[in-house]
Amino acid sequence: MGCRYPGALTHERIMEIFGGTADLVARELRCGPWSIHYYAIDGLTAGGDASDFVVHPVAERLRGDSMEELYEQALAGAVYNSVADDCPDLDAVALKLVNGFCVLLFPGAGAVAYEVKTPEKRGISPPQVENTVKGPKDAFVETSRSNTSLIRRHLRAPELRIWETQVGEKGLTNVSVVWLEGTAEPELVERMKRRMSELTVEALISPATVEESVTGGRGTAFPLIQYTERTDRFCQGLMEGRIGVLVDGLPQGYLAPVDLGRLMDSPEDRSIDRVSASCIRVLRYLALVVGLLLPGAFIAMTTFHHEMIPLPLLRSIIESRSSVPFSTAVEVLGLLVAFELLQESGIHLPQAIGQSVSIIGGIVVGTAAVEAKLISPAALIVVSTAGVCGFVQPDRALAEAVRVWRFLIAVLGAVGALFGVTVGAVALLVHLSGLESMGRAYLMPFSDGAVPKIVYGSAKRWRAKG
Amino acid sequence: MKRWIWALAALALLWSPKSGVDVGKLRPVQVVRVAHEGAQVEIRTDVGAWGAGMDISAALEALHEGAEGVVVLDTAEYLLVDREDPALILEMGERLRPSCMVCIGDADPETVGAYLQVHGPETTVSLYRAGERRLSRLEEKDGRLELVS
Repeated sequence: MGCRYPGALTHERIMEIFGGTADLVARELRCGPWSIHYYAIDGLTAGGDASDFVVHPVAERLRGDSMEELYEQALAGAVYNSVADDCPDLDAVALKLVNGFCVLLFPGAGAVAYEVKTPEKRGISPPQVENTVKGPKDAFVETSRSNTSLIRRHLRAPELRIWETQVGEKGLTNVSVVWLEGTAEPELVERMKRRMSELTVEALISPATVEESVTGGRGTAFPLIQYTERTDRFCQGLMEGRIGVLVDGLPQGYLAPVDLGRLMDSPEDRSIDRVSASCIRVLRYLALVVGLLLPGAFIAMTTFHHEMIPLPLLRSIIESRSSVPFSTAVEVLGLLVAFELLQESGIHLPQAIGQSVSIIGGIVVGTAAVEAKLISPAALIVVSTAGVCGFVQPDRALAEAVRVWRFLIAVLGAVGALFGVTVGAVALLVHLSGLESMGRAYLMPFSDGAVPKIVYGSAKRWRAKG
Repeated sequence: MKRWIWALAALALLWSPKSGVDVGKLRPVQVVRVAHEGAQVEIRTDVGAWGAGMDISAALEALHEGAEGVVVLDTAEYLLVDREDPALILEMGERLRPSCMVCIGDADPETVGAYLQVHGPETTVSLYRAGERRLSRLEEKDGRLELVS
């Protein structure tokens, strides 16, 4: 990163950089005949700690014949603080201040930053999205350093490496690249570091910015980097040789490279026995296919290929649809839209209200619509089944990509019958086979045709390593 | 390569079937009755559709024209004929599934489906075509249906 704040390291320049912001604490401290300047940002620093471990030692212990001597003493330990960093320029001073350090400026000699961060931060809580019945209950929080400590507690390996940088021309977000030395490929580590160093964004605040920045301009709905709020899952990824990324302010960790097989892994797989985990994994893959193809296949079969439906089933579908004024395609696509709307409203509303909306939308409106003969029960069952299959996916980003493709394949089914569905499925396969995550093929685990290995062997591998 | 695949897929979609019929418009038939009305042949189904004409083809054409929705004869399970007329049965059988069961009777097709499902005749269109000529007779006695072999 280039020089953001040029100029000499003076009190005037520091005040100019912060432009008289209300939360900047600046005061003059006297050390005998010399006066030094103290800076801190209120709220980021603990006032008590700053008084006890910076201001008090300065007033009591710092004595010297020149400003340079005072500076040397402060850096050497006269001001008793575990962290005392030299700040050679204005950039370093500004960066330390916004990261919760306080800075002592010795005019004409230099500046020293002391760590007096406030302990105020969100406590470690259980995962909100990736819940499991068994297994650890600690999830990432917004503070990067807390997250690295959580990783260290799960992986007490001296080989764990953390490389930090600031990303964002305006935001200066702290980003950590995490890997396990000797396990991760050095080339991948360098690639991730290079990508982080070369990012030219204003700030890394939202998860989408992080994902797009790390994976490049991606023209796909499928995740090319995996995110997780679970520390154990993150550590598992590191042990598999993947590279982790932690972004200050985001309560999740990112793992790359990623492929479809890994996205279909659930932390729950490690909590249950191997046979059950393998069976559930087969069920999960089945749900992926059903969730993608069912609405499209239903439209195609009820509009173009009636002969494929067993007669008793066809009769009951016809009976249920006899009074519905819309075509099956309109009905299913409309229901898919309604389902997405309900899901979106559930996400944006507070949890208590969100549940009420789901109940009203799912049961009250759904039942009323069936009774009013606006939709048929068969279409409702098909869309609900596809929706439930989407919820089975352990990775939310993958489930969202499936939502997009489900819609596309349903439209193709309405236009081109089962042929259209097949075109959609083949297009998806072509699309997936063209995707790469940090140079790794997205369908890599399936490329050697070892599907049983993916299902059974993966669970075995997890057990062995995890 | 990828572009070619996309282009081919789009091109293929243009040739995809466009004449779909919504399942809600289908009228799958379970029982078909064929009867002679003077010189004409009359076909009635359990879904209410009927048509008459000089022969089977003309009657079916009239049936399809006058029907509400799309009448599907492929689903018919029972064929009722008012009298044993091998030529008529064979011609009508051509339009039905080989497993469709045949019997003689002139009951209303809309009311006999449930009875025939329980006490179905044994002769199918394919057996009749193969030379089996013993047909059961569906009779109505005192308002009750009875299948007599």
